[in-house]
Amino acid sequence: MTPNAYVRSTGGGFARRAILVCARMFDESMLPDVTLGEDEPAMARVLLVVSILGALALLILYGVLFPGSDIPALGDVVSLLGGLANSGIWIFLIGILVGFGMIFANVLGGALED
Amino acid sequence: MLLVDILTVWAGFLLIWVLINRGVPVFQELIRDMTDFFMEKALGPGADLFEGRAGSGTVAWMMHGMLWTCIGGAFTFIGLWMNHEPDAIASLSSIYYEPSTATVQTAAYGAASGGILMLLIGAGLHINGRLSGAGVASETNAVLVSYAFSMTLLLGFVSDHTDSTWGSYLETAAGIIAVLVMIAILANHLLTLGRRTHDTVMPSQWLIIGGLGLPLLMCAADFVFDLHDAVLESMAILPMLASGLAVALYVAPFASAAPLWSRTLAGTTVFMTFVTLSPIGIEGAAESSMGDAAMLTILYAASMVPLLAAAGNVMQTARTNWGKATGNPASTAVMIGMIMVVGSAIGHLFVGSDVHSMSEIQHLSSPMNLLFLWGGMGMIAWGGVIACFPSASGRSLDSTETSRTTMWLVAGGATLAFLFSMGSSMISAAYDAAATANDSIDSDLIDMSAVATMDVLASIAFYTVSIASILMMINMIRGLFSGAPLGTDEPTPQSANRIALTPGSTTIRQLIAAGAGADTEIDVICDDCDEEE
Repeated sequence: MTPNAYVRSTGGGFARRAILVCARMFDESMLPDVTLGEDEPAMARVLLVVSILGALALLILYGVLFPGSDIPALGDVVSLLGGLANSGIWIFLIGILVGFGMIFANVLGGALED
Repeated sequence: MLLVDILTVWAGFLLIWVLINRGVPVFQELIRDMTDFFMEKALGPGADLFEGRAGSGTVAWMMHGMLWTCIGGAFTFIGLWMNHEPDAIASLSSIYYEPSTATVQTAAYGAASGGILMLLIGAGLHINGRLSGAGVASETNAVLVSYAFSMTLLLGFVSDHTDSTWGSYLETAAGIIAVLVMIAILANHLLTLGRRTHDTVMPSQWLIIGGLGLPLLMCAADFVFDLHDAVLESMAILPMLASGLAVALYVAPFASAAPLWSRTLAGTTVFMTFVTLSPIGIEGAAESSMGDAAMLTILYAASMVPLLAAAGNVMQTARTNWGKATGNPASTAVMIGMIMVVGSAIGHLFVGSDVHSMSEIQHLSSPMNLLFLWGGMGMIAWGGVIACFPSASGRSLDSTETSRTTMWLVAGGATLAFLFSMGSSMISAAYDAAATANDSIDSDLIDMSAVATMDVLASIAFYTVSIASILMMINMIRGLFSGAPLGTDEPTPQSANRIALTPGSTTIRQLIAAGAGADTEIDVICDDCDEEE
């Protein structure tokens, strides 16, 4: 395949590979083997977290629009924790506790590995 | 008398300036050798516990600091939540833990401010060692006292939860140990400065030394002159404020690969930080006359000058190499932090002036403290960690993306939490004022659901800060154990020593996904192969 101006200007294998895949798609009417790339843009995780925060904000909006019916607390969902986690805060505290568990696990793992 | 107390502060700063520039004329060598002896050899077995490798002091202070920041963040979140649901963690009474909202908030502030201060002190050790050109004088001592300071935070945390006299005892013990730790760190800084390889003392070094030294001097002067409470309250915030400015004035040029934009602004920052009184954190313990209140207001207003000078200097320094500066999360964090510091300082100016006069806007004090601590100092400390921790540990952080993500989470979470909690407190104060002004209104019948909603939003916004602290802690731990050694710019992924495969085809991608590396030994296990052959 003769490299075109785009391939020359980028000089990268990505463009060449993309042209190859596109050519196969058009010539042989087949989909590429993979649709998942290697790149991980810097803002991707930020976008993910903002999405999660947006979902939480919508949960709050639910509570504002329907003040009579609160969002169920952890104890309402998991009957085992019925006597303990009777407040919405426990949904968030679970995340913090898991986080502290990860800190401990990382320290332990790193120390034992050494 | 307030004027005499202010003159005492200025005399204290003058003393520090003279001692750093001139030293102690006759006893210079003696004091240096004695301090050196007390820093390491006099500690005996205590000093032998730690190796004292280069950078270990910074690493120890930062690891402890981030752990306390995580704890402080978690409890701050709980405290914010309990504003609208005081019984949120009432179920923990089954394990005898049933604190009030005020208790949780006090303990959270102590842990968070202590943790962020530890991060800034850790960065300060690295900065002074680097700018002096000779490294920190005693890494062993720095590591040792980091554990001691961490213990003071633990004692303070426990004492905040203890109502009996034992709480007071613990608090006193924590205070004494904290002062001793600060003396040790200051001595370490002075020794480091004494071994510097060039004459010039950089602005960051002035701020570090003055921020630690001036409060200690005023602490001693208080025994003699019985200083005004407003002076002591300002001195309480000075170590954190001055260290924060020191980190900002180091990280911005470091990340931009350009010197500070203005020498005059840097000098103004150093000088005005120590000759004015900051209104940040003022709680109005002082009984002030109108004359004193007017003088305090002038000093509070003057304290805006160093912050604006530092913010302008940081921004312009970053602007000289904007692409490089904004590409580095440390520099971005510091720039955001400086903006937040200026914003919170302006707010504190009004709140601090009001506390000595009419006390009409004191409901804004708590949100302003949150913005200063997490939005301002927290962000600058984040920048300090991102810039200094890899250099000190010799390994890069595990993920630059995590650093950047956590930075935005802290910035966004702290800002939103501040806005929501300020809105909540303003609505609440307006309702209270209306109920007070109109006797026909029954305060119990006022619908306060809007305040509760704002409190919920504030606590959820702050939850991102708690999670960001934990993610950054994990980032630091992974970086310390398995980060890429600095200078190689190559990742050092963990790879399996040996992988067993069954006959058949596979791809390199699948092998790598299974944990294979360049040195992994691959065994193909085939039970039927011998029989087939």
